[in-house]
Amino acid sequence: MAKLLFLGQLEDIAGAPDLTVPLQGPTTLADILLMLPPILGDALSGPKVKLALNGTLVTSADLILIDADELAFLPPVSGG
Amino acid sequence: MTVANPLVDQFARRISYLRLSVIDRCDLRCAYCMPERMTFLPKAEVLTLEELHQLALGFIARGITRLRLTGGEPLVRRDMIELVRAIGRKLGANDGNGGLEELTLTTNGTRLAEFADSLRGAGVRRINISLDTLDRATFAKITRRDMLPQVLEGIAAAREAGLTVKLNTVALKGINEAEIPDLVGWAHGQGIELTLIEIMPLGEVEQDRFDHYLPLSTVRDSLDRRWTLTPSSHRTGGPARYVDVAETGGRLGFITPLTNNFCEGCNRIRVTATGQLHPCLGGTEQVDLRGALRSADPEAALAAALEFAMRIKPARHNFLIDRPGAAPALARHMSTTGG
Amino acid sequence: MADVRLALEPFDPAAELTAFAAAHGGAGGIVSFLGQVRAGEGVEALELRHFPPLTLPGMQALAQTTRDRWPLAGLCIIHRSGVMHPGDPIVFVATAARHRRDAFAAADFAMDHLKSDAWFWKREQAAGHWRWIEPREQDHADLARWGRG
Repeated sequence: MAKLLFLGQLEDIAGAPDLTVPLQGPTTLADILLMLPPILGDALSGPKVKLALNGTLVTSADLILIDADELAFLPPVSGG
Repeated sequence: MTVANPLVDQFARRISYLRLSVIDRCDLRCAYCMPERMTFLPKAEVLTLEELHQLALGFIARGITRLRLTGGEPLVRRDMIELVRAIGRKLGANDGNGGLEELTLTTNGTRLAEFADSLRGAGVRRINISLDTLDRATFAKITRRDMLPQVLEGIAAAREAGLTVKLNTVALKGINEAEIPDLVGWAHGQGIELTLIEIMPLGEVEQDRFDHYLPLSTVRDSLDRRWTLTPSSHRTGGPARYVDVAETGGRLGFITPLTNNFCEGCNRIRVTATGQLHPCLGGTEQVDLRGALRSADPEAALAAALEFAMRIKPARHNFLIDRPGAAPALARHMSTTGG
Repeated sequence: MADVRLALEPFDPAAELTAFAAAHGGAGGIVSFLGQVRAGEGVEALELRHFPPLTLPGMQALAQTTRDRWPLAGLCIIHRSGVMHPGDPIVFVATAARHRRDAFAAADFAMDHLKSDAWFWKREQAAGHWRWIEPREQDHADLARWGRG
């Protein structure tokens, strides 16, 4: 199982702050996105969404998730 | 040299080259690298001699065969020679825990006169020296320190000690621009290879305005008018592209930060003086090896951290102009605390 | 050393400024900025969310960059996360330096980066409805003033 975290407005699109997805072995991010509702999958793969795998920012979208991974989707920030 | 469990990223690239920064401090203050009044890291943040040694051994056991020590300025670290000797024992080692084929160093040369013999004795054969000018006043202007004589003395000492020297020169508009052909000629005249490095164009930098961006294409055009340049097939696995200069008989390299056509074969990773592993020069990825080294079970934690780094090393770097914090230019000249 | 905090509960900016000034009594100048929840436009509440693995480390890195760039005697950055109401403090930045220009510029730099580069997401409640706030173009234009890196 891997956990997906949705920050900012992605939470509203997902309808929850996080989602647990079952994994049958190592799975590419692309395949995981295909398991999700298309509207969410599209939002998560937008060009401005950044990714953090287990708390570390990653720039590669060619990720492979394994059991117990936690992947956060970070939309553009709006602080202060 | 084969190891049981080599570092291979998810794109099947075998990682064999490590750049390890041993200190964030430097005795020069090159304007393109750090501010005049730099705040250096507290000592506890920087890896100790033992930690650096342990880290190097850990990497070598995982198939790193070429290791380059960088800084800051590595030779301002007090225990530097001790570290080089310790790591140097892995050169050609065949003890089942991996071995090094090459141990190299990037330095500004100010302290080489003192240390060249010891480096050679520890097994170092090649060093890269950063030198942007042969003019003492220009050197003082770029580095904010009047130390050109020491550097030239250091270069001579390195050669006398039997070290192969390569020069790295940052091309700076209006500063060393006019002098570059002479510098190349001087280096080649002594059989020294030189590589030109382009810095990224910077915008308005408050109070510390440093806007001396000089595209290497311009430099190359002007060298082309003076000399016969023939593209060389020489490759080092890094970002440099080379030409042979017919008139000097020497080789000249060019490194531009936007070049990313070497990503496919990228076999390198780098670690900062605080033990942060950056799997990609142009990426924001960072994996904390110091935390692993200082944990209750360093060996297991380090192995886990390295596995993770291999999973997140990007296919290619992404030098987008709109991504702050990703400024990739000149990692070898940037001190570890910057941006 | 910089004092960098992610505040999950309300903080008292006046007390923070007093303490900061006292801690840097020898500095020639102190500049402080306080951002607070705007009143009006029907806004009932504002919520900031953060991402623990990145938010505070990012603020600490910003503090280091700021200190590398200007000769500061002291730097304090406090940023709220959680639900706030009009008039509540959101962000507080204070800089202490020998010369006022360094203090002003460093505080300005830190604020611009907190606005558009720190890991926070903001939403507003009006007429009972929550709405996520998109990043403003102006914030990115502000950031561009400082060059890259």
